[in-house]
Amino acid sequence: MSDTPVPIDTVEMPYVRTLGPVISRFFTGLRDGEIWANKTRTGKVQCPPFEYDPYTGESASDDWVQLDGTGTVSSWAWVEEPLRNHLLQEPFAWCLIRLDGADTDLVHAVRVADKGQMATGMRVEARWRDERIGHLRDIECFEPA
Amino acid sequence: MRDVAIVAFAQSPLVRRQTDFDEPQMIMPVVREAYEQSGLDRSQIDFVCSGSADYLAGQPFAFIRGLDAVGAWPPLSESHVEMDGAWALYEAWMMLQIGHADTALVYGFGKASAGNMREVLTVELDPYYLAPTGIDCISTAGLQARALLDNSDYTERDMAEVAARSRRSAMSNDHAQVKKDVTAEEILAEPYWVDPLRPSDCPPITDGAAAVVLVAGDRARDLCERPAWIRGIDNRIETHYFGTRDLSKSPSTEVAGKTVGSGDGIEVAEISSTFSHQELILKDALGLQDSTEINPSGGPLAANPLMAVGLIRIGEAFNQIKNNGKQRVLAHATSGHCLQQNLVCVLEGD
Amino acid sequence: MSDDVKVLNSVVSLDYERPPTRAARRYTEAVGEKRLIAHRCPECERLYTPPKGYCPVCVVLTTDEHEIEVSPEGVLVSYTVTNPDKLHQQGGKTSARGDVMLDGTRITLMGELDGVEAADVHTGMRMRAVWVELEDGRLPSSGGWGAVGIKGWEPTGEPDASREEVQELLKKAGES
Repeated sequence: MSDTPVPIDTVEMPYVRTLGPVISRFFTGLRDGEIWANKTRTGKVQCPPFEYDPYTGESASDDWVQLDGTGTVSSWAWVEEPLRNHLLQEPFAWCLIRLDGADTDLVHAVRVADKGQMATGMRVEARWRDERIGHLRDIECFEPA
Repeated sequence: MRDVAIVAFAQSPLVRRQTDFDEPQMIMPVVREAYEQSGLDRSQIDFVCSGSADYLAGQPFAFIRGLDAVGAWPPLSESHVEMDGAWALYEAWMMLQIGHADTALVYGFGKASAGNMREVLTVELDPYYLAPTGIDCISTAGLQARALLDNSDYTERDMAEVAARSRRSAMSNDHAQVKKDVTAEEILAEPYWVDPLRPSDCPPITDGAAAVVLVAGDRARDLCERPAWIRGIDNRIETHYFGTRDLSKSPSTEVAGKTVGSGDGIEVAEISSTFSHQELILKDALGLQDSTEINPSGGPLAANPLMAVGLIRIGEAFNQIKNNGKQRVLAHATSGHCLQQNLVCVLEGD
Repeated sequence: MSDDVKVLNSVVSLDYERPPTRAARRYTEAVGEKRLIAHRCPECERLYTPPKGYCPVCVVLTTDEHEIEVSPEGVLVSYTVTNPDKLHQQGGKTSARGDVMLDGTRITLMGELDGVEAADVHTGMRMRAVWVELEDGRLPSSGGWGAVGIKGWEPTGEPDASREEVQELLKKAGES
């Protein structure tokens, strides 16, 4: 019974997901370098936008607002060793970001030179990729504003 | 409401990697032990329900193999949830409530060692806004821990105290995986893993299985000297995108807890605090008093067999009544990232 | 709006390490020696190859002590011919797959039929195993299911089992 190394099986599942009107509008905006949020019927501004208000189950309104890509960190977790699928491949912070004008948090990455710069309440701004395809990764990350 | 009781509970050794046995081999002795404890054989079980996740095994319909461990011949009345076995118990409890069964076997199992759990558990996130970022379960827990530290008086020392006590409590649990006489100081001296979490704030990777037998009515007293009656069980879910939640609180646990009377005279609580800070959130949400003993088994920080760990909380709570003379105990299970969905169950002795 | 972003492309890619069980390791070693092993259930005497390490009918574990060698030869009891052109699968070739019941058992194992034209395949043929080649002492990945040590079956050239004999074998296999 030799102790042969265990082979790795890679399971791969490709998906093409249709977006629906709301996520389509959000991702189209990202491709064009714009961040759009939508309003619930109670007037709450959601970014990222949903087709509904998750707290009431009601459809969201057709009211959209454009945000400027600056915001405030409402929570963060520092990753010293990124996983292969993480947004950044260098030490960075996962953040909940309350974009200016929004009432909900966006989950994204913040890049700083040093962990010591990270703090709840810090101001950040979006750093866009030059080549954008309509994906959350069109925003490469956020950086201190 | 019918009176429904737990009359038997068994669990496998909870280990980092179960190499010699596959899933059915891991489950089979556990199911056998549960049957023996209950005095029932499988022909006397009306309904079987299991909890597991195919992504752990990396094979479609992997849960079907689990049926090999309970004997699917002659054909049996069976169901499965792609969740922790605690939710399988909830489904079985409902089958007993509506009178479609008088006895049920519930089991949960998982070999988390096969895959990379930090990648596998990302797949259960929203596929548009979260999964494409690659965010993992340690990072989401880190965001939640920071939210708690920022929005409450709790400190990293409070988290370390939970982490240390859990590993110390586990020293008297034969099944536990991580057990050691460790202090909060020693844990605070660890470097961060995903700041503000240190390695000891996080659960181990565990292979394991567990099984429970439920019986309705007086028959439970014939089968078990001290059955644990399910006096309340409720589960509640919150929205999936955690950017829209206050992560420092668990309103779903709070509602489920209020429904079943979690704040009232609980002697022991076995809760699925997968990360140290989650015990602090859950204790407040459940309204547990300081006199309530939390996770004497060590909890998920001592052994975290995914898809069985919640069912084990219910089983450990049952053992407190059956073996330890307790009268009113609580069990809690969780599903998803950052305590998204929570099940709370109150058990009482006769 | 025709250039709006309408879809999200994504790939879920996950790596798994599945160490073979003890029963699977012994089975693999035997395949390397062109031997076929099975576990016999101590309660119902059903045979399982590859050995599972348990009997799912009686719900008992089985171990090395329940291991026996079984014949890698048997009788073709069922088959199907796949014609890829009819299925619009261009480039495929017509092939046959069949179920062989191993001699002295009621185990049937499915596999590609080799060394016989699809048009000539018929039940009752005597077949023997076509073994897989081990790669670094391991069975090639099969996707997790099936008779992984045996690629398929080829005719032995011995006289066929009669129609009655085949029916008797199938009846035996159907008994619970």
